Amino acid sequence: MPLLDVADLRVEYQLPGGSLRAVESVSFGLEKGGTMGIVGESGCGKSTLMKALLRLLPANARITGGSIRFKGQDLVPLRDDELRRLRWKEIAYVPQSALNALNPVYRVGEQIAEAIMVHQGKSRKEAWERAKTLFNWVGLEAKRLDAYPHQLSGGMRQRTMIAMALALEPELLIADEPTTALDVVVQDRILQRLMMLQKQLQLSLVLVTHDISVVAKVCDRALVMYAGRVAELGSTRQIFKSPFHPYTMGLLNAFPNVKHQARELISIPGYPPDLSKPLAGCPFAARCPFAVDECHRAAPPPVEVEPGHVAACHRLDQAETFREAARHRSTWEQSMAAGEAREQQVAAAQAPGAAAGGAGGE
Amino acid sequence: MLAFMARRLLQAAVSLFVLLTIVFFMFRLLPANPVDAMVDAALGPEAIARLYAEFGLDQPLWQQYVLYLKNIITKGDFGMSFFFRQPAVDILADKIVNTLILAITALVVAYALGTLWGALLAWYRGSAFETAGITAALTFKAAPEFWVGMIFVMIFAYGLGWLPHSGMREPGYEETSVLLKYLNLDFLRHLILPATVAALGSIATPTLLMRNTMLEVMHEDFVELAKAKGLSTLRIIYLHAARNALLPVVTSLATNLGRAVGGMVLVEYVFSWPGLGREIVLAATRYDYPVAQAAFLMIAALVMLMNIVADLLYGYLDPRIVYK
Amino acid sequence: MLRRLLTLLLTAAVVFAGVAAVHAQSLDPARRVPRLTFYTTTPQYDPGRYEAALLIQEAFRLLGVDVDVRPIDQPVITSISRSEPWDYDGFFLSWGSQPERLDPHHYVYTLFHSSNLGHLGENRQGFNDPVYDAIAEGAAVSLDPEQRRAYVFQAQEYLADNVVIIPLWFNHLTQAYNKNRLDNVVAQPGLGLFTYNSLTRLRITQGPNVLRVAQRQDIDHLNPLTVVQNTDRQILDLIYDFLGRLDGDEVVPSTAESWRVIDNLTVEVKIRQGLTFHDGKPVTAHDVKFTWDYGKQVGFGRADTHVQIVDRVDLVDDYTVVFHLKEPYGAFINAAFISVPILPKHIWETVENPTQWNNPNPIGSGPFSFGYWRRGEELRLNRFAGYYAPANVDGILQIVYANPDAIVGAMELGDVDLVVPQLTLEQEQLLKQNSHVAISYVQGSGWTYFAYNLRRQPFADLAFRKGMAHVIDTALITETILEDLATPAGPGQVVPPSAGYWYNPDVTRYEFDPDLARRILAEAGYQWDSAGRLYLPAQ
Repeated sequence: MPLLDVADLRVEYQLPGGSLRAVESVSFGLEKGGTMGIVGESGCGKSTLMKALLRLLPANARITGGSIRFKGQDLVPLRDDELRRLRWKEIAYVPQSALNALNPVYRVGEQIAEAIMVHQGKSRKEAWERAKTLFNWVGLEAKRLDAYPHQLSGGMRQRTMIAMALALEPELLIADEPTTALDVVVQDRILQRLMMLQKQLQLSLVLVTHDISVVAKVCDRALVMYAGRVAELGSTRQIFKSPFHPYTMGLLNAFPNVKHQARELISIPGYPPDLSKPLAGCPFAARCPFAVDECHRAAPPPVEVEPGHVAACHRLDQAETFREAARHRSTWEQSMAAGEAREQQVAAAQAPGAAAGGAGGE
Repeated sequence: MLAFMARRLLQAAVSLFVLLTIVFFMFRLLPANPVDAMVDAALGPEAIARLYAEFGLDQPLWQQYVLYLKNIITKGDFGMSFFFRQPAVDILADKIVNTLILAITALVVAYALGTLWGALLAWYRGSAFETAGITAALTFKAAPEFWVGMIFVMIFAYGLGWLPHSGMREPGYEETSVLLKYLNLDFLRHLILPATVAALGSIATPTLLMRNTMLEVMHEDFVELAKAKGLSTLRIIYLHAARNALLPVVTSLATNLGRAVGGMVLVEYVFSWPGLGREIVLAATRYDYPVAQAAFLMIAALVMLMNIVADLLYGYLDPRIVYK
Repeated sequence: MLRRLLTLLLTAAVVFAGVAAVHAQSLDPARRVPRLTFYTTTPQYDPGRYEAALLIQEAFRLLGVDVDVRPIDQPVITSISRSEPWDYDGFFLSWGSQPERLDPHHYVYTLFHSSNLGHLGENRQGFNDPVYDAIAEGAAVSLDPEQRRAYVFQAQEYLADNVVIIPLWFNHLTQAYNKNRLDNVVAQPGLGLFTYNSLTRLRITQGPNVLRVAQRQDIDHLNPLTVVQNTDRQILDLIYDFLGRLDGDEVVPSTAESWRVIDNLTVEVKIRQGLTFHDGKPVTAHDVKFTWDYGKQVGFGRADTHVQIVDRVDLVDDYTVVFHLKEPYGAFINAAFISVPILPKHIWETVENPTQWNNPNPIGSGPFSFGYWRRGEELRLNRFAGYYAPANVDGILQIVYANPDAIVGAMELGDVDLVVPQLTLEQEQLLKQNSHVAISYVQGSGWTYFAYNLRRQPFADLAFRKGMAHVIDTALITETILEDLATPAGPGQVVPPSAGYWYNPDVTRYEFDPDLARRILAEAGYQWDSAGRLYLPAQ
């Protein structure tokens, strides 16, 4: 039984104009000690998915279907007080910006000690002792425990967050872009430290990022999300070596890769679709250089292309060809022109008289 | 920090000087003077002239002003009350303790409860509890203290007879030490009604202020993290969110305390509380310049002082603040 | 009352219809009676005077004169009405009840003699008439009561005939007390219950033998040299003793044992033997002489006139003094003897700067000694057993209540035995319903009046004033505003009925008669335009 088993999870936002399906039928599993990277552009639903896992969705968001089984127990129906027992002790969280996530008016040591005192009923002194050990783990001097958040550098704050997350040695750590705000050198060191601790403590890790190279460094499995759905899911090796979804291929182009230094850096033109409007076909179709009519008509179901490797695309059989084509900038630029023309047609058909708007939502 | 304090105190001193000057001339430009305010006295021109001389009102205005400043600076003397024939400062000092006890009690109660209440209102935003809470706070703010006071007197003093309707102590009480005059059950019994009414009148400000600031703070990442940490709701509200929303409330408490010293007039009136507010109104209505001037100056000084205190409290409440 | 109002309205209608015939073109706009400005108190300060001003504004409309009523602060009215350049048309003020006002000097001489016409003088309306001056002087100088009374009567008639001022009503003193606890309660005419007479005589029949009284305003200080507030004076009157005291409508010896008028300028006074001050030192002629000498030197506030009139005081022996007056002063016994407190020489001769002193622990020789004063809360007086006619109660506790409702509450709950401040109509109605409360009604010694500027038109003209007198219905105004808590007055009625001996009931009365009023004006040459507006006679 996997430690975390997410099945057919759906999340909707209630907006003044209607609802927005931010997460649509997402399923994945994570073994104990495993590391899973969730990757995608901003707005792809990865943050919503993560908040759903933590049950920290904002008031206007709702889980409308599916389950989140943690050690066999479904988290979706749990009440606040039931959740409270799992939180931090079992599932800890490293947020994106440590500066905002640390309470500005308390010393960082205090904030770490708080978690220990509240959950383990330890004395203040014991909790501070533990905090010193944790700081040692993440490579910070114990005297920094007395600092207020604003007195620490960005890297130190992020280490503090990791120390805090590890305070109760949780089974599962969910990290949201933990190093985005930092410069590359610091970023690297912190990721190294995180990987080391993850192995030492046998942590399971869910790492949410828009940077696929981070996934490559840290994770053994990866989930590529697009428009709230799973585009591709597989081991990091599988995803990097033989991506099946054109979006994954595009994503790989967008980041420098250690192994393929020669590869051109190409970003995918266009925008993801507006999720508050109904979507007939494959959500990526509008930006996909390989889209055919079928792609605009029906959403592709996830297909297991090899063991443990799932992708949702109508043209899986052409993957080999696409991989080659996707390496060229021209492929993507053509698709852009085609996509725009198509969108204009659609817009004109749906709203006669309305001026053709810009491309899609944000 | 010291430089900050020095600068603030200097600013306050300059403001006070300007205020003093304005108040000095403002009172003397009014179309009547203290002798006119001696009701029904039929003194006659000679006796009036003697009074003018006693009060120094026969001097040219600028000379009066220079003398006034000189006495304040060299002797700390704010002049003699025309009516009490005592130093103006003594007249105010007598009453300020009474008003401070009332104002501090009322404001501490109002701000303590208002802060807790406001935080809860923000947390349960959009619920019926919030609507009812806000309505209650606004009702007490909108209802004149005078009116609320009368109703409380009707119910708790005349109706139920639980508490006294007037004064600070039972008439004819035994005089004891200065401290025991205030630290006894009789005084407390007399304090309850006026303090409650004053507190109810002031509770809306901290409640709404707290609620509004809380609504902003609640969207901060650290509140989400506190939730993720599995802390209890009360702990999140009060130790994490409210603690960060306190700043504007503290400023408001400090400035309100400064103002309340002269602003408790209605409560003092309804409950016959021998406070500073009534003293100031009396001084102003009968042109007792020295007392009125000293009172305005004192209130202004207090408000400024409390502002500085609020600034210093900031540093304690928010470690990010640095005094420059 | 309703019928009278209807009559008033009907008359107004008839008058307006009648004047419509007059042609406007024959009238010089310069002669038009200007819009007048009357100053009155704010309704918060005194609703009575405010309402009176509005009713008189209506009355002036009957004459075709427009009036602006301006409610302003009472001290501002005082200032405008008595200060140069006397820039007003009319004002509403009031004289309160004071012991020396039962003597006519203030009302007959001070208010109307031409010597008081100047800046800050009390002849505020600017009445300057040599005939009246002679009458007032006669009343002022005579120490023979019969002779003096004749002058005082004549003065009242003259003031009424000349409509110099219009007293609107004589204030009553309406005070409440607990009849279950108090016995032998006798009000002093003109002054009410919180006076020397009542307080020394009343008895407490049950409960603690300390009289608790409710007061609105606390005292300011207890220095008799500088006292101005009536609340202070009421307390000082109990602590200090005087040569004479009012009893009913006559002045009887108190610190004095007897006095003898030698001539118009000389009065010999024998001092009562065996009196002591509250500190045990005897009261002697030395203290009496000292009081006048000292007062003349440092000033005596409200009693200043009464000490300055004395040229010198001769000490005959330890218990006899002779006063030599600078000029004849008819009120010397009736006003000076009852308003100059006898100061203990041994205390005051060492006081530096006595007028800047608040006399925190006053020592007198009156029926009550000073106990303590907790400013803003209460004041305690104790019975002085050494007084020649000691009080029945052990002491008096005066408690300050800040608002009229608290006073009613305190009285209803039995927290106090006596309410000192004059009850309002509303308070009276509320308190009357309590079985333990009795209300004492007695005429005061003051009056509320409408005065106008005789230095200006139209009031400078006697015909106008007479016409005006016939449209101002003081009886209706009094009844409308105060019901039966005051007695209506009228033009010239400046001596209150409570002054008994000095009160002249037979002065000219001006019936309410708008037709007559207009006839008087028309005969004097006044005219109205087609809009009914009044024009002054051609010169």
